[in-house]
Amino acid sequence: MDDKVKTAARYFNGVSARPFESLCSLSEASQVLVLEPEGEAPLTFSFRQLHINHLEKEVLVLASDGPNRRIIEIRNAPFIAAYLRVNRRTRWQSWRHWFVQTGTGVHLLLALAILAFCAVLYFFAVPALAEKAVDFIPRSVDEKLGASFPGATAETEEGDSLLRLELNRFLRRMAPELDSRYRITVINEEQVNAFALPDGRIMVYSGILKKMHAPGELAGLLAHEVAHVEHRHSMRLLCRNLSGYLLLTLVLNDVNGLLTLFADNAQRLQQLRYSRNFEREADLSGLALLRKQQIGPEGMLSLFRILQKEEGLQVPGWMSTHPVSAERIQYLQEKIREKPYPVKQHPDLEDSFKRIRQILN
Amino acid sequence: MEILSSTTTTSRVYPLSFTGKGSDYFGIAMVNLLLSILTLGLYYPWAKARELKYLYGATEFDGSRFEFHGSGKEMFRGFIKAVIIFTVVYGGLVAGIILNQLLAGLIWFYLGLLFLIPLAIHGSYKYRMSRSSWRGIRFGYRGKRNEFMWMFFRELFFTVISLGIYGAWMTIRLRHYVLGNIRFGDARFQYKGHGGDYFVLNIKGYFLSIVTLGIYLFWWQKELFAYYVDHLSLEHKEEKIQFKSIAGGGDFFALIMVNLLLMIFTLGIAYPWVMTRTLTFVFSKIQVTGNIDTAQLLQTESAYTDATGEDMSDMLDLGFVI
Repeated sequence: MDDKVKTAARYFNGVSARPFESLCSLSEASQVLVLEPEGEAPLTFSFRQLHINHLEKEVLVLASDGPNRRIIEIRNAPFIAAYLRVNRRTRWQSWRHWFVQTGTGVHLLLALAILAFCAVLYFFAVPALAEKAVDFIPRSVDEKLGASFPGATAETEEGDSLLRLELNRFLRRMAPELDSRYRITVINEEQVNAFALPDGRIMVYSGILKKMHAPGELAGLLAHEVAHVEHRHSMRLLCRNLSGYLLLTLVLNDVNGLLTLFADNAQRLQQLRYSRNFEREADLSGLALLRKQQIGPEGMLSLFRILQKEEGLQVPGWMSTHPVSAERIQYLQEKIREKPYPVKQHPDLEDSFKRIRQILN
Repeated sequence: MEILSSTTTTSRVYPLSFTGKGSDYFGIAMVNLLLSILTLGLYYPWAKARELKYLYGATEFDGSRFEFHGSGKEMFRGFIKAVIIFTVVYGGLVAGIILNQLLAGLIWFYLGLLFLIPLAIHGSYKYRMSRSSWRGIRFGYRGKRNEFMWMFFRELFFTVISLGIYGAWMTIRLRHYVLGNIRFGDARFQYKGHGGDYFVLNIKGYFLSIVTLGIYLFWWQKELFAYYVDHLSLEHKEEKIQFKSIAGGGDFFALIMVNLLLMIFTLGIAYPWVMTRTLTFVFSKIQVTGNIDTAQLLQTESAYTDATGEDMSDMLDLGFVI
């Protein structure tokens, strides 16, 4: 042997659990480990055959290839060090071993670095990519998505369908160039709310209609909802949410429930942030639509004042799906001041709005 | 090592311990996390193999370490198969939604998942046992898939029509079947619990936990652990090893509370320490006594390399212990 490192070892032959006390030595030149079991012929294992089962400073368990794994147990620190040094095939494993041994400080640092990297990915890179992905999804998918929403249910009554006709007439008059996707459905409930589905259906609660006093308010509301559809907000939200979840599950793979809980909440907060941004975008491009039709912006402002009265308890901005109304009024006013525009009279809208009021009463 | 006993039949205590360190396990988990991110999660099966290898290798019974010799490659193949199976199950649900047949979609989905549970249990035992060994002697699982599935659904049926009461009997019978089919070389495990005792234990635990505002939960946990361990034995020819729990309710209280605090205050980063603490606890609280001469154990179990069940039970989030 060209290397004088020797140690006692225990050998198991893979046939029974009987231990063979053995003498074990290494050869760097021929890359082999030689085992001399008590009362048996010596065995030679090339390093290629041997896998490290378990490695600690003072425990090394080696296993050989083959249908019956033969096991060699070594409990001698200098010999273990020599084995790792001499064996050219364990470099990768000893790299791991070295890293595991570097100490918890380094690992913690790495953990924090990974965390920071994921945060950057999660808050910036993934949303941006998801936004880009939306451009590749055809509009027809939005239509299908909207169509899967449990249908136009509440508009069967006579009065409602009259109301619906009149509201749709209002929409056509206020924005003649909108295509036929856009149609209004009334939900007969006292809620002061409205929302748009990705296929162009705009659902308006009768509650909010009853609060309105001027055609400009209705125009403002519809402009806002149309903008949601135009900007494909539902689809964008869906894409962002999905990609966010995908990343989180990839990273948190096999970690237990507690982290998933954190992840869920992170996701929810993210979603609120997105949806606030979307509301703002819808407000501003709603305003642009009014500008194009030369409809006065006061209606939109007064719509938000109506909503403001409805908001009882104020939720802090960052925890809410919509920007608080006061904030919305503020940025709309700024925009109006920045870019004032000429306003026309709209007798047709006045007329239509009057009829809506009549049907409602 | 001088514990090479000759074929005496006198009883002795077999040392059992877990020597893994949280800091080592953390290092392994960090490398795995890094590689998982770089490979967009595809490293998962290899990561899992690494972690299992470490945990098994750090567990010592009668002077020798256990070994997990499954490979990432095997588990990756299983992973792909499991993904395909789950895609089919989820696909049915999605198809149901698109075709406006929500009910049919849901039925397909839940029946599918239900069907996968016994399959996953069977497959994961078969794979995991075949890939576990001690001194080169493989474990093995000899349960029959169809037999187990039939049993699972029969027991489930009784549990449902008895409004859950039969659940205690179901658990014990499944355990009896699964554990009773585990081989350790030419030795076999036995589980001898009774559904009735288990039912009483749980009813008692439930009501005392309510009465004591949850404090009894830890003692309930202790009894559940003891009920598992104390009824487990290993038999080899005429010889036998009996397992016995020596954990107290207070021990469980300390373990669980500290684990919980560690997880909460480190936002989960302490997970490796929680894991090693728990395993140290479990293995130090199981006393093993008997007269089996471990040197006499023979290799009998064949290798089994299909890891689909193992990966499915990960996806279903089934714990390994039944």
